[in-house]
Amino acid sequence: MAWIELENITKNFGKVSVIKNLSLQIEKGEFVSILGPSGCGKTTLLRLIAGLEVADKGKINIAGTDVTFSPPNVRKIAMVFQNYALYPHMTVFKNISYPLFIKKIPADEIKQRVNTIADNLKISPLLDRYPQQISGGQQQRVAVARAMIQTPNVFLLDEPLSNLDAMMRIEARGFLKYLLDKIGTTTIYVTHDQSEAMALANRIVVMQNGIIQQVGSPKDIYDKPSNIFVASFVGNPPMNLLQATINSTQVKIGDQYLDIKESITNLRKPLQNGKVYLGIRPEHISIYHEDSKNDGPIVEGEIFVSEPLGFETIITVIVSDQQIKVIKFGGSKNLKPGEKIKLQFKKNKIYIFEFETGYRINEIQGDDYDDH
Amino acid sequence: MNKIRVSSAINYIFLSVVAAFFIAPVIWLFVTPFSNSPSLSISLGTPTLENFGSVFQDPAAIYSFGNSVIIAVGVTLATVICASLAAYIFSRYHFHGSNFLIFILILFSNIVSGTAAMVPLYMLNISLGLINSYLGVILTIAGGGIPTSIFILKSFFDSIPKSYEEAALVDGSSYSQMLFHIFLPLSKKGIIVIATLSFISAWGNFLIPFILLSSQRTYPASVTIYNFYTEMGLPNIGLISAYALLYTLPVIIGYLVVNKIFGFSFYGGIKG
Ligand SMILES: Nc1ncnc2c1ncn2[C@@H]1O[C@H](COP(=O)(O)OP(=O)(O)O)[C@@H](O)[C@H]1O
Ligand SMILES: [Mg+2]
Repeated sequence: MAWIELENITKNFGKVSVIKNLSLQIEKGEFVSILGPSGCGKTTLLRLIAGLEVADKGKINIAGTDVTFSPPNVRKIAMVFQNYALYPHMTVFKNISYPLFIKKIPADEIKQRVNTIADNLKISPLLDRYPQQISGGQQQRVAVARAMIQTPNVFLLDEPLSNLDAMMRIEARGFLKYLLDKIGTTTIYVTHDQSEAMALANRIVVMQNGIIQQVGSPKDIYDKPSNIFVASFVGNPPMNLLQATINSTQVKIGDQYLDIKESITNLRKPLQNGKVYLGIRPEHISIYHEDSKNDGPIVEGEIFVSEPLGFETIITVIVSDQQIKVIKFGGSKNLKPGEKIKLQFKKNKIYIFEFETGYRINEIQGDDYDDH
Repeated sequence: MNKIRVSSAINYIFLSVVAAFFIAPVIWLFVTPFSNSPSLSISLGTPTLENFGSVFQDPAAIYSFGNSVIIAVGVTLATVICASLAAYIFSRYHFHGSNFLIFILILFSNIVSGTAAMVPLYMLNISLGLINSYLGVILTIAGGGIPTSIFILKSFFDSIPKSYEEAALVDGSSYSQMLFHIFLPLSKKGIIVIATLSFISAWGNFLIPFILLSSQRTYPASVTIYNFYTEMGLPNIGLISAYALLYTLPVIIGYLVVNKIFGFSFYGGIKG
């Protein structure tokens, strides 16, 4: 039995169905990230696991105990809230020690444990202050400290970095990963930021509208997205998705034919009317010159805009009325809007998605991932 | 320019008259008790504490203070306990028609505790056997004030993010631990305000004890003052004014408490 088991969970708020028949298993010690756009039900899912909401249908097991109807305080969990929820009438010390205080742990042991964790998180000088007297980044650490002071069955973190500014976020992310790796407690980390999920998790659960779209390692999610939603949600800039038609050897985008004999070998489904989305990541497109080696199909287009970002440049190209984003490393000279340009798609990085359902229907080189 | 000056001068004159109208009784209240020749006009004469001396020699003056304390404390306890429990539920759990229910309660409480309902209230107290008892007075005054207190406390509780309570539960506290360690400390200010306001209103309530109580011995200060005016052939202005000042003090202290509470800003949470 898995450490955490969600079985056919359904949750409605009034007439709004927020979680739809969701099942998920998490092993002990895993770091799982729940990734999805705002409003897709991530927080609700976390609150169901915490016991702050009760499921309308389904079962929840934590550490071998059925907790479906148990209140939060008996579930042995720790949670970092999106707004941190530090008790405003207590000092940082009191905040961190609250879970121990409630368990009536002796005062000197509390003191010693709080000091250890405060040292670890570099917040020792703040222990006598009140939450409203410290910065957002410090509040975040205090919230993490309050969660970590116990040894819970699972850590639940709800967008713990979203209240920090961009610079702090990267730093806090690294620190969080270091800490959570060191402790090794099972962690569920909710975020709408794909880069956070990619950077932190062993396993990513991609959600949309209360439904799990794909579960897999960060590499799987990135390399083998099972549908258009996952493909376009992960990666920055996201994957290009071009409307196209397909037959056994060629893809047609607008009036251009792309030779895809080598890239599209195993189509899982026979195609009805041939309408598909062709997916290609910006980093898998190169600018084609006469002397480039032949590494995949080529399309022609016109530069729309180019945005130099220092190390790389993002070029937007119009190909048969559809926009394609390309990442080019190095300089961006000679990339003027309106100029004609040839793009080459890396041949084994082309994805074909069924037009109606959005499911990927070509197999990707390497061990294919079973996405259903 | 000139026009503006003239109109603002008129404003000032008008406002001064209005202010004098309100301030004069207050000055009288603070001056007359210390006067050796107290009268209905404001004049200090030679300052003296004699008037207070005569208050403390009057047994009715002393025990009616005690009666006021019993009634006011009783009303305060009843109001705070009932209103905070109800306000918590109204704030945290939304059920169909909950806002309408509060509205109706406030509407009826204002009618019921007003003069118009005195006859039915009297009959009710008689049939409940509560006539001429403090309990009857306490329940009747509290009943009139609780709905408004619920409304005020509910708005106050609404401003306390629910996530503190949720964090406390997740941190392992039981519901009662959460209530005592997290929610009550956070809502302390609102509850103190309600306690103070209901104390003040019970302390100053004249009509209900006047109607529901029938023996001198049980009258609170508000009724006793009235009796001082009406029952002694020639009113003893010195005694009455000193008594009135003492009677006003708890109210003034109460308002100072409320002011102190709102002088400091409320704990701010972080927006989620
Ligand atoms: N207590 C609630 N009452 C009604 N609707 C809610 C409640 N909580 C969440 N929702 C709705 O459920 C959906 C999912 O919310 P949430 O789980 O917070 O999404 P996320 O965390 O992914 O942004 C949203 O449409 C939200 O409006
Ligand atoms: Mg959320």
